[in-house]
Amino acid sequence: MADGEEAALGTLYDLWAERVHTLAFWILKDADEAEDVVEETFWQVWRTSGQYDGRRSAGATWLLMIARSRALDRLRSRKRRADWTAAPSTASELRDQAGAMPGELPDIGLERSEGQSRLASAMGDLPPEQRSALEMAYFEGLSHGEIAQRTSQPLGTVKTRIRLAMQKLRRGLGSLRKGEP
Amino acid sequence: MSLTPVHEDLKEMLPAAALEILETGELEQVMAHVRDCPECETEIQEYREAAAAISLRLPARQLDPARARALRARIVARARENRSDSETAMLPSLPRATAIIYRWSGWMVAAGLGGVLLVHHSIHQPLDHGWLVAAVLLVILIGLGIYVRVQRSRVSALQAHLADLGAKGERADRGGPGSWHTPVPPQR
Repeated sequence: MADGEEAALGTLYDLWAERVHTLAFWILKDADEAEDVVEETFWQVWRTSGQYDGRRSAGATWLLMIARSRALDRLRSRKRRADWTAAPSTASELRDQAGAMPGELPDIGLERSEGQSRLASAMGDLPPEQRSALEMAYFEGLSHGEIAQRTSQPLGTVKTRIRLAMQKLRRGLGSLRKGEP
Repeated sequence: MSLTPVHEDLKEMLPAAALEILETGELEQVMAHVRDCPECETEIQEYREAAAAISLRLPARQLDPARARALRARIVARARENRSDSETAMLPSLPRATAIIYRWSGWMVAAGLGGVLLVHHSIHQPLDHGWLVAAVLLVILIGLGIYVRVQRSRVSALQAHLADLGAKGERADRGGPGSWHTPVPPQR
């Protein structure tokens, strides 16, 4: 696609549009806006594919980072508007759903490696306070200070929780690469 | 005591940098360090992969098939249009003579073939009024070329237009923007 082939963009869309839409929806809670994010994401992929370095990051990581950034941009823009009313946070909704899918990943209909599944279940194994802080950072793009304000926790505690959560997820990734069970 | 963050301090900030939740100044500091530190570059990439995996926990939100097709067509048409614009934009940077050749090469080939036909018929005259037949054929060839060019541009424009109409039609079928805007509550 770096050579500008539209067919390659179409194939990438077929493989990833649904996952991008899912991520954007859970950040924005609005299917219409999520669809706009899908378009913006693939448009950005098309325009910047020449800058993508496959040796430095996996394509999926790159694509999902773009999608999250575009969705968070919209969320922040919405929050700046005077008429904005907050939707329930993704973190709280996911916690509500946790009982309905204990330890089980949703079927998202796309190829998913064992590594991805293990990482996703590692997320579920995090202590609730770490997972909650991480979800606020990931789905709402809140800074350490904003999370500290919302949860009434000291700033240092929030920083530690997010760092520990990310370190556990990363270790899960590392053990998978080394072939550890 | 130095006020400049050292490797270990910046290393601790890598998870937040991967999540892009640092303040602008902090993020710039971390990224400047990452560029010069292979260890931290590898580490931040692993944190990014871990962050991307968070989205895998999300209950799937399926795109409506018709809307997904319309969206796909719109994206591909936009990319095609962008590529066409890029190619056109490239022309002015070429030397003037090269740009003229690039733009009119197809017509030059057609005119050359027509000229060969005319010369051939004027010399050998295999048919009565052979040069006239060749000229008519040349006119038909040029007309066909113009027709094809026009139709191709119309097809591209129609594809983009249809994609937009498809999206609007789907929205209308669903009862207007209000229903589409309403987030579906999670299943409990």
